[in-house]
Amino acid sequence: MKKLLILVCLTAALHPCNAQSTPDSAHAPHTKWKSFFDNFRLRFPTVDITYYIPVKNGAFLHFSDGMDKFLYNRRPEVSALMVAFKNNYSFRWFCLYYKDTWGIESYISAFGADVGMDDFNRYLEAKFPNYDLNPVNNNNISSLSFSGLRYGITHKIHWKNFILEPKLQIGFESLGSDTDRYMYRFKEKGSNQFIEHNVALHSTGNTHSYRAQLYFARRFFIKNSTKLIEVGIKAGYMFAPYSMQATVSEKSYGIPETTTQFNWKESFQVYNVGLYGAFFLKK
Amino acid sequence: MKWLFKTIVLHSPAAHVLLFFVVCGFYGCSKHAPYSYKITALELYNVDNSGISPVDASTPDIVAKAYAIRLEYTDMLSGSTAGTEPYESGYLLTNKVTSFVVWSLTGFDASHPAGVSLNDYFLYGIRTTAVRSGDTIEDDLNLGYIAPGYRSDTPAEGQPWKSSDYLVLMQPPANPGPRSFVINIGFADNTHITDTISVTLH
Repeated sequence: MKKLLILVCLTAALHPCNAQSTPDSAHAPHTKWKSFFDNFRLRFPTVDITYYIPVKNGAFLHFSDGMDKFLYNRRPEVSALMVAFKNNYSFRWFCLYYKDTWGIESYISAFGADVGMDDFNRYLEAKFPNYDLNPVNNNNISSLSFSGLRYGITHKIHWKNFILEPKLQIGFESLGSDTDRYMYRFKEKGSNQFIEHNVALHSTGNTHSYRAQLYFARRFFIKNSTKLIEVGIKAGYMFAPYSMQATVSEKSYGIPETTTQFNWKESFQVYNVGLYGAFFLKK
Repeated sequence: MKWLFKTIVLHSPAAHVLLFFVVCGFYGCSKHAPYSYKITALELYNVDNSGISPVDASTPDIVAKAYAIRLEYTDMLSGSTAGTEPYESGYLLTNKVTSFVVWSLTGFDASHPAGVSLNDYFLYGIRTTAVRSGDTIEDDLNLGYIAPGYRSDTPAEGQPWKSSDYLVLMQPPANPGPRSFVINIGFADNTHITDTISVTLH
């Protein structure tokens, strides 16, 4: 699929007709192809700032060992291109429009959420009352972040200089490598003994995300120039069914390690609203 | 092709973003030579680790279950600083540590009489608060974690500096009382440094 998109893109971009350097009359057989390829427009990234609002899901509220607190209290997040490449970002690396109306596009993107660790830290401190939580290993957040490529179709509805653009997208994501392990170290008061408390997250299946987005924008044409600017607002909804496993382990010096595993499935859902802008040539 | 170049290279935000990463990568990945150093001396200190952070003990009486030893190494550049950069160069111990043994001059317990290695009773770390269950002396020796003489500035040639690691006692002795520990470190050139420290564990 990706190779096909690249092939279509390159074919459209590299065709001599796009260079506008050859008179039509000199290559009459190409006229038909020229008019066909002139219908296509390559578009590149937009710049945006987006506010993501994850939907709280109670799928793990019954979990023991503090995992309800580790996974539940999800935080909203603001993301902007080149500003906050965190759990949520979206970078459109390719888009091809036909007659500036129908388009196919692809994004490098991620979705996910942070969970505040205050409740979980309090749970652990209550569990180990005679121990000090080592400050150097204190975790403020846990992150659940999936990243990958997503593909979509888009349709532009023009009205004067305004554009209404609904988009449908499907993503193929995997769990980020930086979200798989959280270690706490509790030192016994008055002693060298300590407890290592670990939480490891693993994806146990393929993750696909499904998104519906709506863009509303106005175009501004720059006088005596072939360039134009598109500025607008956007809103969207995403859900992504996924399955995970969390392994909680505790280890002390000279004592065998104990582990507890939790498995769950849920649909990660997030709403987002934002501003976006694009800059490109008319042709 | 001119149109393509103009569109993609000059007017595409994607190209600008790519250029940004290329420029950052070019300047951010410059290679600098590591500092080469060797360990010339070892001095031991008794440490009280009963609190969150370890402190050098003011008296030789320490609770056995909170006892640790601070190993203070004297480091010295073994080569030139040419081609190095203070904040980006790594450190290279030229005379590798090949052996590390700690023992007691008197019997520690039934399975560890005087002179027998106590390596399995200690954990090794750059600070006691970061010692993990996997920081055994054998593992740290194999991984090259023994005596990493890191510093974040440029050492002057011919000017020694100090760096410290810790040995944390995880298994108290069978009987409390005065005790002397000996630590011997061997290097790749078959030289050794050693020091002894006395403490009363109770």
